[in-house]
Amino acid sequence: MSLTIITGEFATEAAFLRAWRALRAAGLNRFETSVPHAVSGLEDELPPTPIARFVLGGAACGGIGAYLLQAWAARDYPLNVSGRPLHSWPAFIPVTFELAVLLATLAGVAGLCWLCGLPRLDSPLRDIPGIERATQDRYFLGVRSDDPRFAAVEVRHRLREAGAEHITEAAP
Amino acid sequence: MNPSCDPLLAPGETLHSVTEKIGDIPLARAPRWWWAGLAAGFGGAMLLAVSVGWLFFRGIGIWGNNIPVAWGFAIVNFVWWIGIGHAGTFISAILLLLHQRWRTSINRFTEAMTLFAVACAGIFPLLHLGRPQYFYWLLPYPDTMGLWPQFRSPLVWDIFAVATYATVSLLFWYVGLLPDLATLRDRARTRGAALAYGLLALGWRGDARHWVHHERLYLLLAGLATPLVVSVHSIVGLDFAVALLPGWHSTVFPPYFVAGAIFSGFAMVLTLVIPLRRLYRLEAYITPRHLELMAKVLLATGWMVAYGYFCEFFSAWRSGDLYERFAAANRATGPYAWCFWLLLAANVLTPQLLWSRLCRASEWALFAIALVVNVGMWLERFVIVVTGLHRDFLPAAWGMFRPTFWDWSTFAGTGGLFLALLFLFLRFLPAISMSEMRTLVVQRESIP
Amino acid sequence: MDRRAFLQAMAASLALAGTGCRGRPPHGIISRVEGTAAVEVEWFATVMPSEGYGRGIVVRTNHGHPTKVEGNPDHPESLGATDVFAQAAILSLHDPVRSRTPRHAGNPATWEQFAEAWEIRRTRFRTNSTPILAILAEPTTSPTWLRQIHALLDDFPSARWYQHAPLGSHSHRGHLPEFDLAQAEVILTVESDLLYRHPAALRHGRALAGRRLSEPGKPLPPRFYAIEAVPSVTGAVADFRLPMAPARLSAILPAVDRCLRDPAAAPGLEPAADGFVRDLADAMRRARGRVVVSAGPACNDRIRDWSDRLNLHYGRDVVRWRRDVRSDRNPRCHGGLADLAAAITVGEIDTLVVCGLNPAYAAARDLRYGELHARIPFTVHLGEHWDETAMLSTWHLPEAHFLESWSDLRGAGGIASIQQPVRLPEAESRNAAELLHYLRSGTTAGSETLVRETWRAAGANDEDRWVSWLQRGIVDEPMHGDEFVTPPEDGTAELPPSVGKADGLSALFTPDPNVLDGRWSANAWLQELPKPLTQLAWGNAILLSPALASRLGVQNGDVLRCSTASGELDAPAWTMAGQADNTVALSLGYGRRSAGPLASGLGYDANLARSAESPWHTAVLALRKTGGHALPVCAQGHFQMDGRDLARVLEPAIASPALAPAHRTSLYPPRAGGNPAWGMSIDLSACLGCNACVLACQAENNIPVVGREQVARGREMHWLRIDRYVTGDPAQPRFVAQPVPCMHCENAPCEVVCPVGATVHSSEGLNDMVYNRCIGTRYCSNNCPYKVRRFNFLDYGGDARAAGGANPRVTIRERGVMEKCTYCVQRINAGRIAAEVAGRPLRDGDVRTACQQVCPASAIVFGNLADPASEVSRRAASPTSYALLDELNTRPRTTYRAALRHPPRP
Repeated sequence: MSLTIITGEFATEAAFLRAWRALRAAGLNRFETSVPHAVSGLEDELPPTPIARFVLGGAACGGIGAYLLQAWAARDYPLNVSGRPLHSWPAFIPVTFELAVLLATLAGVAGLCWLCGLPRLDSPLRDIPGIERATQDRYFLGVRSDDPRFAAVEVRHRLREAGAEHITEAAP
Repeated sequence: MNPSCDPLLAPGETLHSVTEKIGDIPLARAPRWWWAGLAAGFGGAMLLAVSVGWLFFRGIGIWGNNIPVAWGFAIVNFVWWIGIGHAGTFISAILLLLHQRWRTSINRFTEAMTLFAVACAGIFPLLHLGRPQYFYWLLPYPDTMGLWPQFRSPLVWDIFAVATYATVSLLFWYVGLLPDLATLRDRARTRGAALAYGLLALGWRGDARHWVHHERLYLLLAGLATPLVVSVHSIVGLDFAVALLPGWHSTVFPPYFVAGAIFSGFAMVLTLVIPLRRLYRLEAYITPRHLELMAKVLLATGWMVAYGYFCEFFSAWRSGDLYERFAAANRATGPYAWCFWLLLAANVLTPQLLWSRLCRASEWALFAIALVVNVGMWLERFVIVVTGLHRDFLPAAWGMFRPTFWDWSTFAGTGGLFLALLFLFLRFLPAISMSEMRTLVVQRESIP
Repeated sequence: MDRRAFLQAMAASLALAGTGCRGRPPHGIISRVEGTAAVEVEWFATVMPSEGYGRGIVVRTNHGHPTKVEGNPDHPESLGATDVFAQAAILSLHDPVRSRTPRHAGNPATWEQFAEAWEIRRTRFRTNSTPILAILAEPTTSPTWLRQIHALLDDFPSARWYQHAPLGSHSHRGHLPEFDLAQAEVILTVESDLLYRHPAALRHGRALAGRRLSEPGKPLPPRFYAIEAVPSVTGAVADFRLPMAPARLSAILPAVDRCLRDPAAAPGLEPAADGFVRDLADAMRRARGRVVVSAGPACNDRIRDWSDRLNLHYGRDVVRWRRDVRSDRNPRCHGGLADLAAAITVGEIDTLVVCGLNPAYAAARDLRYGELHARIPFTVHLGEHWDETAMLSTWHLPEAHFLESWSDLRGAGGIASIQQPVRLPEAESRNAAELLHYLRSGTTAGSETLVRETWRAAGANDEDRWVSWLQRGIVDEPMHGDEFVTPPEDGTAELPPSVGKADGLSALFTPDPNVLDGRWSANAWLQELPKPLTQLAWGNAILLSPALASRLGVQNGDVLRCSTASGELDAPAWTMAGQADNTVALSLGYGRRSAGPLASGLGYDANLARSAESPWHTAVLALRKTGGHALPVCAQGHFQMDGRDLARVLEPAIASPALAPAHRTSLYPPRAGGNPAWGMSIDLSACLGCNACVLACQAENNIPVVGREQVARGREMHWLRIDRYVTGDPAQPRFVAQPVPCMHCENAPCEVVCPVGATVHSSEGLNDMVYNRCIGTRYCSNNCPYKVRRFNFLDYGGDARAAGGANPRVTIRERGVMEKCTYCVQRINAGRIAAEVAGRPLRDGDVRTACQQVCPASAIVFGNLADPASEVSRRAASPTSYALLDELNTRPRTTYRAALRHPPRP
């Protein structure tokens, strides 16, 4: 059996959330969604996002790397500058901080791309009619047929019950 | 009606209306005034190109810099532009962390302004080098001679701070822009536009789980940008404070520079937003309440700046140091005293009008005050750079700085570049964050 | 060609002077030392004319190209030092607009064409006693030239010799007083620039400085009094200076004499002068026998008689007189410029030969010399430049530069030197002696032959002797008339002096300190050099006292119209502290119409208001503002110290130990000092402020000239500048000159702010500037509290990338890089190499910086501070030694010793 996705289209955030919870209650897990803004209350339903770890890792690399670079550069080519000690640590703080922030940001953005699978040119919901409104004012929630608890009839039923205006089945 | 009770969003706005009103601006034909604005900006950018060409051909002697005033307009303009660039991140990041929802309708625009201001600012440290072709010697890279930058110099800190600030601001802005680019992709009327916006959107499709990552990263970036924005102008302040010159060597410089940066940034935001909300009919999103709140920030930061001025004079007097005291007196009574008094009038006296509710409610008054503050903040940097340098320790070595045509043309040229970039932004990208506006709409609907 | 373009051309010509190949030496020249360490460097002793007197110099050549002038230590008028003009001479040698070709009626011609034209006249002059042939020249000491003129006068019955000294005469009634300043206890100068513009100025400077260098246990330095209208270099270093209008000067020496005879007598002058005269008379009485009184060339005969008289009575032990070795009063001389003008007016003169002078510009305009000159049927002008007189002459002939031809000159003290060339002339040119020889004989003889002939009787045939004369730069043969004489006391001095009109405004004409009467106009170094005391560059101004300026409501730069009986001129005003009220000072040497692209049109021509009758001062009929404004270019920002402790002045009796710097703590761990630890000590007490060090530095270190517009913008490039401060009572201020090179701070503020490490410390304590690494942020200059860093805002170095006229051992700096004093690091390295070659350690004095070497006053000493026995350590340890801006804890290696000036007696 080929993979399909049954997708419900909702007009409101509340209806979308209702459907999500109903399907989760039914033990379903493999969703494809497309919504115009962050759905409030959804983060409680999901495992915590690991993106902070990327940022922290980046900050640590940037900060430690920058400090070591400066301390090493001062010794690699030792010069008497204004009679200051080679290891002028107070002067090394600004660059350490800036590079920590820079690498944290880069790591965070890289992490977002990684976690969201960006960039990609394709969408599993691309064939749903009206899917373009998912970035405007409509909420789409699809269930993949490879979900172990997938049952087309039940999925359709629960989507409709939650308030789906159209229900479409399409291949990803 | 009491403006402080004004809503942040006009009544009757829906998800659809938000998307349509904001999202159609980049997709529709450009209005005639846009062409006029772009032409003006482009003309200015061409003036910049000519000025820079002549500068590279002849050397920085085409400017008025000399010994003792080795830094002139280039550094004044650098600090002025980078200061303006601080409002964007301040509004986006710090106000986000403080849950100031009113930031939503102006953050995109101010972030863009930040980027363009930082681009204009970033030009000057490169142009002001005697040998700009070797600017990369400021960066640590494996040089064949085994040489490294001299990390004790505030100019190296500067390069790192400005480069980091520019990169982080750009990414922060772009991350916020991703969902809106996807909206434009999906609303595009031509294939070309769809393709372009599609590429820029990186395939964002608004998966509910992606939104969670996105929101969290946005918050984290705001958390990073907050100390960053403070650090950048602190480091710019250190360019001066690390030097031993009387009038520069002062611990108040970093905080006072940060306050001044936000002050000038908000002034510039007001200067730009007031005409634009009219021209693009965005009064529903940028409401009198926004203007009022920004006016209050302007007033508050104006006082911080005034405190900085006071501190400079107080610590000069309290130090008992002959040179410090002279530098302070020379500021107020020397050959550039007129700049000093003008800047006090512009930065300390003028904002006091904002105590008046009438002024805060009047677009015209706000616009005029913001313009005056912009000029005042430029003068402040001029006073710091030029009067700090022109009379230091040895009276025999004192001198005067007189700007040349090329000083002015380079400055005006960056103004043109800034305008050109701004108009291109307004034309091709949504000036207000649609995705965040949607959240506002949804939140309002959820409140009974 | 504008001035900027010309400066570039000049830089290019310096480069062309040494494009790789070795310069071919002129025939017969002898270098000073055989077998120096560096093969490409040679030294040649020669002599330089200064108002006709000779000053010994040595010229350094690199690969045969002359690159630097130093003083000749063997020559008593140099003692190893030079003035600014000797330093600048090397640039004049390379001047691209020096005249290279003869011109007939303004058109390029050849020497052969001149020979044809002359031959006809020559035969006529040999036989006929009319018409008259006149020769006009500056008085000189050159035996060869004098031999030639005498021969010409012998051969041509119609010839007349006229002399004109545009800068006046230092001798009086044929006698030049010789002062022993090293033994004097009281020195009085009356309008006399004894230490700057005097044939023995260098010797005087050395002697005075020797007395003033502070040493424990030494007798107090002499009390130095100066009376003058406009501050001069000499007046500025005096202990006591009385500004006095020229019209009142005649009264002052008789008043001194009165007070000397009767201590209770009232001098009868104005109150400030009375106190001064009483104090002076008191000091003279105490120091009887050891008093020097010098009256300058601008003083009238009466004042100079008085000066001789006071010297006779009070200066027995320290003043002697010589018959002046210069030809001013040569019996065969027919007269001066006025006599010549009279002869031209009556149509006597058929042919005039002008040697080296430019009277069409430099003569008082009421003489109308230019018109008269043009009236003469046949005029010949021999000169280095196509100048105003050349333009009016039938023939202009290019004169050989003194470094390109043979001659001989005598110093003020009588000593003779052979002038030998240091390079071949670029174009066919002759010097004055060669021309005279040709005019007389119709045959060409080289200047070498002529000089040898002059000295044959004295032993020039003895090759060893001749070589030793050339090597040492002096002729060790006593000359006739060298003995001292006693001038007869002149009776007229006994007459009561007439008191001049004190109330009228008078104009004082002063040779410009840098270009004199215009003879140095074409020299860019001298044009750009800030003039002593005013610090003006590239022009002149009407100087007036602050009191007069405020009375007239005049600001600096306001254009004034000054009218005298001779004419009127418009010029910008400049206030000068310490100038006598009721005087305006007009400096000569500017307002040139034909002085090349460099100097033409700079400043105003003071000769317009000058009369030949009274060339040095005249009454001003009217002085008013025209409403115009033209700010002169001034290199110094501010002349008061404003309560800052910068250039210290102390009383010699107090060598205060309180001056010893407080020990300053640092947050940073101390660094181990290297050995050698280079340092410099500058003695403000000795410093004369003569600017020689500034130009020596410029010549040694290839410092570019930037031009008037750039100096006006504040971009002059001098690595060493002299700050001049005015202190005390504005009516009778005291001046202090403070040379400021790089301080080479141990905690150098410039280093820490450089983002690329382009300025860092060497192990020997030098604050090194790495031009190649510099990207030009100029942060270092901002952070330099001494503001000694200089920046190449434009391509000042021009095309002189591989300069030959420039010092090949010093890099030419690129546009956009910072530069500054290096303590002459190339000399340090040369000294180190020489010591290593000789297999011995560096000794004190092996390395001398350019500024140190040239200083007439030995005010600058450089050396190893780690060696406690070195001169610099000794000076730095003296109680009057201090660091400039010590409170900043920059720990400068360059330190100063306070200026010692006697306090006024209470």
